[in-house]
Amino acid sequence: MKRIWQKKHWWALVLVGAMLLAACGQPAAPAPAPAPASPPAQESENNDADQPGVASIAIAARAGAMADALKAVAAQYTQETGIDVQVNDMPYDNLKETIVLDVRNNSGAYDLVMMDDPWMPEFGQANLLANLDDYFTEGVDPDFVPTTINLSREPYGTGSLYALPLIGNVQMFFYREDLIEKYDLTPPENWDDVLAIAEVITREEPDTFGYALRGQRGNPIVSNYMPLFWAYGGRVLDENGVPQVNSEAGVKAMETYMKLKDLGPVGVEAFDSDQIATALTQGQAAMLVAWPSWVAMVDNEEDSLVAGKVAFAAVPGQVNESAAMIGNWLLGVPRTSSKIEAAVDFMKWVTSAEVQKEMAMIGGGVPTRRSVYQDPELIEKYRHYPAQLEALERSVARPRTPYWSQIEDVWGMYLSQILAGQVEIQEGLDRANEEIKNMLP
Amino acid sequence: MTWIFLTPTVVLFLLLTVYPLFYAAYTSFFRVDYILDQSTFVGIQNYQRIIRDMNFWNAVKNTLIFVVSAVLFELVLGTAFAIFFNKEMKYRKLFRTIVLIPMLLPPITVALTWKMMYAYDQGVLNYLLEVIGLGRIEWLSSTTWALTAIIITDIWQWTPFVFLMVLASLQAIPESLYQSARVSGATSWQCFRYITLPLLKPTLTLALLLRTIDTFRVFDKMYVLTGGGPGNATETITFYIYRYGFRYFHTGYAAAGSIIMVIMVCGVSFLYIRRAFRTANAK
Repeated sequence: MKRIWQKKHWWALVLVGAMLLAACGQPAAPAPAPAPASPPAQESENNDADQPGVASIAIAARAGAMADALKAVAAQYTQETGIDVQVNDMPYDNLKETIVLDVRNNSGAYDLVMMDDPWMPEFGQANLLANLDDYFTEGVDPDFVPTTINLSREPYGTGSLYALPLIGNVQMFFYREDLIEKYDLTPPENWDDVLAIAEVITREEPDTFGYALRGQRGNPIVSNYMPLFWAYGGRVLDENGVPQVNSEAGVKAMETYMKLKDLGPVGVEAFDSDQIATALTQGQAAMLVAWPSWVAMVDNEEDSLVAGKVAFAAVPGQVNESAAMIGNWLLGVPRTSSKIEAAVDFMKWVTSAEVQKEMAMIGGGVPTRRSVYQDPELIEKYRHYPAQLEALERSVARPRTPYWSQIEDVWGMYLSQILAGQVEIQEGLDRANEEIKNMLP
Repeated sequence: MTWIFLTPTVVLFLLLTVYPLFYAAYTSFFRVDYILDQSTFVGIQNYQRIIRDMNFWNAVKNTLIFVVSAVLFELVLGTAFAIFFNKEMKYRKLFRTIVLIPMLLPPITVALTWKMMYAYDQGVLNYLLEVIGLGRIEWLSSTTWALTAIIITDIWQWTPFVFLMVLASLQAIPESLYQSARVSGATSWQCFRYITLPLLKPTLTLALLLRTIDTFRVFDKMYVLTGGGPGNATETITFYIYRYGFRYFHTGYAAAGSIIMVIMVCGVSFLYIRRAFRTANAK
């Protein structure tokens, strides 16, 4: 009798294990169903050449205002050409995994994908994207800001073209001009000034904090902390590719960052772009570093309590000059797409000056062309455009390494631990550096 | 001829569960970079690295805290609800349906809704806390509360599952048992302790097993509510595996993590399973 029981135990165990594995294999992330691929599969094998029959293209996009703007103009494209454009929006993490799996599994579900620019070296090295040189034999329109086109090439700046810049984000420093005047202060030039101003405003101005940081683990905290890291003279990788995130500059930048946390609203450890943007527009925070696409509504009186009171400037420096971090969203074509030609047509159309202007007017678009930044109608609506163009022209890219996603994730986890008070600054950064070192080949 | 009827199930089982299990075990001995499509045999190196990784043990700790407290509360609350709603009362069916609703919602929706309720400034929970004179809580942004907040969400969603199971088995207990007990002078506590509880035991064991396995796999709530943070305060084993599997695409390493997790769950489940079969065979 006993033997029978035990046999059953083992089967039950295998079953339990298998259930678990099935669950691990496909995490219940909010994976949107891949777009129904059309035209039907049999058509998709053999048509690299002209495809008069293309009825639709599918785009994987980063959810948020950018995807909303993209959807709005896509509808217009459908009207003009009859080609249906399906925009599938998904959160940041989900987007990258969707792109990788789409190409590696040869599914060909997407014809265009939005990519965060630091993914480019990784995607380029892994050969996930279609080379676009043949579609731009006459070169890329010189109207594009050169720093944005550099990102679209692999290797950086010199290689083949694999994408076009869709969203020209560059980090900027936003601050409440009215409060600076009210308390007889001068606009900050370095992070010491920022600290001093933040202290005054937090103390004196009711219901307003000096500074809002974006402390959520992973990409958010890294992109928010890096401007300080650079300003204090930090470098992620040295000449030999050895990580240096625990350098003296890193420690000093983190000390300042911790002080800024205490001069901000409660709960910044969980803040992402949307929360810091809300903190600014609702008058809760006086200063912050943000991507312009998230703060486009700051002058809109319906959404913002501080319309007309916010000034835009380059990110403050410290030991070094300020370095504006570029963070573009690029539009590329997965190698496995069966409709490359149609995808490139849409890509050219959507990055044209007219459409960029339209997307900027809607609110989610950030231009990548000089002519759009100089458009008088847009400058009237977004008075920061001249400053933003200048920042974009002088912007600096994050390290070009295929391991950036991993570095960022590990670094971001330890920065978040330090911010939440789980570990001391030096110890946390040492551990981050050690772990990054182990990840690199 | 019975094999004809068994074949479809067995084939599906082999294809969809046994094969992936062994394939995962096989993959765990390779260093795989899925983005670059490279794979090298490394023996047990993946396992050695995981076991030495402090973050992995932190994830194990978080998972165990999560599993034990969520399952415990779900069992106790679910049983209490079931006993309560087993009585005759007006609108009983309506109330029962309402109790079941959380379980029917998609986990992502549940997590997003709770995320709004947990918001520090605009969240309804902090508002209520202030109304009754307590201070606000940093639900999702403090390392002390974040895991608790996720546990509360899970309890809210899955207590109905236990409720449903227990209610079904309560209704199967013949009323005559209680009648004769009362005739012999048993108090209602004694009725519960010596009739209801023993007869519910198989159901409770099963609910315990199913909830344990399910909470071990929790992922969506962490993914939406905290992203594993702040720091690594809410990183569970599944989240750890996810990071390596789907952010870094180190598929072999992630597979090794999954195998370790399977072994752990099997260890935990073993006791339950043995007990369940014993009860079944005793009948």
